[in-house]
Amino acid sequence: MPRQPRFDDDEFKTAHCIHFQSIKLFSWIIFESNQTNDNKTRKMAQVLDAYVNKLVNIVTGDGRIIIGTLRGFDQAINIILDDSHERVFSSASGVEQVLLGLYIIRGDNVALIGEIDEDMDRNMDLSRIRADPLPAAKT
Amino acid sequence: MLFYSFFKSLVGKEVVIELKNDLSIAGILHSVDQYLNVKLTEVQVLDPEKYPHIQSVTSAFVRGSVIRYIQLPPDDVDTQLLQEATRKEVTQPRKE
Repeated sequence: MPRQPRFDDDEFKTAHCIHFQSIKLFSWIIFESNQTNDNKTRKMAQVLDAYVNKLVNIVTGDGRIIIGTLRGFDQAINIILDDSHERVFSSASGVEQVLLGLYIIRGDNVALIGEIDEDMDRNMDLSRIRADPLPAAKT
Repeated sequence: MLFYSFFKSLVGKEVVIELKNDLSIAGILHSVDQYLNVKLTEVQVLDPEKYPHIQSVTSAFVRGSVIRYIQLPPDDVDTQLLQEATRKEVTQPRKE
């Protein structure tokens, strides 16, 4: 005849102890995997964090070049640019700069974000650069 | 996730990225994320005469959706292994 477990039974106690331990372990595993997921998303953002408050060069999907100070961004690479201007390239004359001011660029339209070496940029003679505008990104 | 892992193994190597706007950029692969957005350091445009547009750029973040090709250093890619891994991913339905 099977023995009925009782609360003061040693066997019963150990069984429950193990059970609680395993619940603890399990929740710890879940916690840990959440942690690593968080880290992953955080790491993704960190890549652009390095450019925040720096002068950046945005190449848009339609081939425009916009220079400005990166103030913020999000997961979809939507971008906030401060004090921005567009550089219009043409093969007939030098580069024309058009003031834009504060801009938000939707992530879909962003092709490339480049960190500008400000010294190098200052030493560039934009009036002498002749080039066709960049083509749009063909999908 | 296979190609994400694959590109992570190439971090630090020199690659050439061809964009959908015909721009080709060489640089050191700095990081990749799950969308295959790529960050390059020591950026150089392959045809600077024709494309002076990003002349003063030293490092760049390229959105994965505008990348057409990534040229890889052949010595750092185990094509045999990659082929087996891609086959495995196709034949075995993915968990998760």
